[in-house]
Amino acid sequence: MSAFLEAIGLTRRHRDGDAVQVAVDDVSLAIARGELVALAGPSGSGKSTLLGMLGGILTPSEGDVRIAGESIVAMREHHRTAHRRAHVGIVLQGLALVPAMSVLENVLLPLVPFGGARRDDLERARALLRRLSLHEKERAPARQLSGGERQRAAIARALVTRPSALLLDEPTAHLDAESASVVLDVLAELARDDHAVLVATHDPRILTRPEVSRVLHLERGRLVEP
Amino acid sequence: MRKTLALFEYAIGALARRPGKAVALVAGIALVTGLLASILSLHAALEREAGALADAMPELTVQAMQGGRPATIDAETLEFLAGHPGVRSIRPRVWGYLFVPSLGANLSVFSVAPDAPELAEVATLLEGRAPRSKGEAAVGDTFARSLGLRPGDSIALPTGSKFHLLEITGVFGAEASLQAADVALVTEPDARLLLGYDDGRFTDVAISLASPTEADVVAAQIAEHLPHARVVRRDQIARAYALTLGARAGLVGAMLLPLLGCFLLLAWDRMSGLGEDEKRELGVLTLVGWDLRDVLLAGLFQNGLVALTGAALGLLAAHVYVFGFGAPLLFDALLGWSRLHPTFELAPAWDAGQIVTVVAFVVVPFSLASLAPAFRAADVDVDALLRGGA
Repeated sequence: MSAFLEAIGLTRRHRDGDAVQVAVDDVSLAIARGELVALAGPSGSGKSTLLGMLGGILTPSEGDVRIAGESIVAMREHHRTAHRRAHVGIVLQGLALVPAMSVLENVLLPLVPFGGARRDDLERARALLRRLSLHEKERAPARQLSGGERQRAAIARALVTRPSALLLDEPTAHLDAESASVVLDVLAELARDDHAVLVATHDPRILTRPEVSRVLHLERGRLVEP
Repeated sequence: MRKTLALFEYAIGALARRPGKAVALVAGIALVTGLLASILSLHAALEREAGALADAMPELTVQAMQGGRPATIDAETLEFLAGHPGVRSIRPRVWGYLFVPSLGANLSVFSVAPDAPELAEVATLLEGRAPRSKGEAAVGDTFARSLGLRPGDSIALPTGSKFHLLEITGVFGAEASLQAADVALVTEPDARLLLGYDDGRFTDVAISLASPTEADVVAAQIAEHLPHARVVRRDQIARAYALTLGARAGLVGAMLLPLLGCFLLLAWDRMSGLGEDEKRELGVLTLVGWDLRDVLLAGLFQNGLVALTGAALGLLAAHVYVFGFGAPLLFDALLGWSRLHPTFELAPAWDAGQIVTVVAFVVVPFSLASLAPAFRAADVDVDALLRGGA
């Protein structure tokens, strides 16, 4: 299987006063389409930073990221943004939805720079919401959704541009067992649909799921053997 | 185009999601725009009225001067002026100011001959009629209103230690208020009595020229022959009006500049200090693949909408304030304070230059002031977003 998402010697350092902190240290990994990979590690181990670099929203200090065979690190900002929004969907814990917008408006938000939603985009958005059991809430303001519903809506939003890879940061944090199970079912289904899925988590409910192809362990910014 | 429309639609939605902030900024811009536009439109309307007033004035006015002060004109000077080449006719005038203690204000007393040709025009502005004989007067609307005078009433005006009784035969309408608010039009004998002028002496001379385009030349020739006289051309009077009104409008406008500055600072502060909701929304936009240019354009659309809406409301409010309500307070500031103040209705006077000026002074600075904060806001801290801190 060829890698769709690839990290090669990724390192990210940042200054903390006079000291230089290494958030991610020489990480290399590859994820193919159809894989559901879990990135495990304690809080502060660098999972979110690694996810940000893989998604093209953080620039690495060293190393390279290849998405769909193209290096995004050397790209100009504008091209990098265009490339990542064409290939990668990202779901971050702290940036789920715009609370004052309706669920459907949130899902369609990535399409605005493309000229807004056309009829087929609207149909796809509604199909995604149906698939994620949110179709009855498409007009509801996002602030009225439960935690699980917000995660699912954010996943629908990440998928509306038809990306081949999906990066998720702690998608089941603060969710009850039932909500977490629904989200995990969706992720497994996406992997079966030939998406490359990388989930940063320390939730054992994900790490023990049989659909998870591999579990990568990150500690102090480095990939380690479990 | 489709993308631009989509971003514009998003901008409208974003404003609707934060109505409090949008309304506050629109109100601020409307206030500043309204004040500035009120000054400009009132100035334009007054300038137009003053221009019409100047048009009705004689082409040349000659005053005698003595020791640098205005003096009366004698018969010899009148004879010289009447015979001067280029002069079609002369009209010696008796006029002056009379302090009325009961009003605490000066009355402008003008004499008029019963057969004067301009009386036909004056008559159209009067309720009642012009004075025809000694002991009659037509007065300005403000003066009449101050004393509750109507045609048929009588008034006693002071002449030294005595009083002179006049019957009111007419009152000027409000449309003549700029010229006649504080005027008492009387016959020449009454004017001489009220103002203390000897027979054969006049306040000044109004000159009508055979060729108005030669006003410069004739004025220079008269000044050469009458070195102690002051010769005033009609265009000089018009310019004096324009300069006076312009200076006052400029002064009031300058007083507004600190307000404009405060507003821009406030707008800067409001736009650069993002609320949690706004930070979160910008973070989401970055996350879902909005380019920095997309975020900036949407922000500019928001600011543009706010600025244009505020400016439009300000212009509308200025129009209603100036031409609907007569610009209370501001009218006094531009025209000058007076006990006998004109009360005419201003004819709406707007031009493209005024609107461009308002846009240049309010909308453009606001939009420019919003650019840097918008850029800063759009350049979100991705590290903080990843830690869920947005």
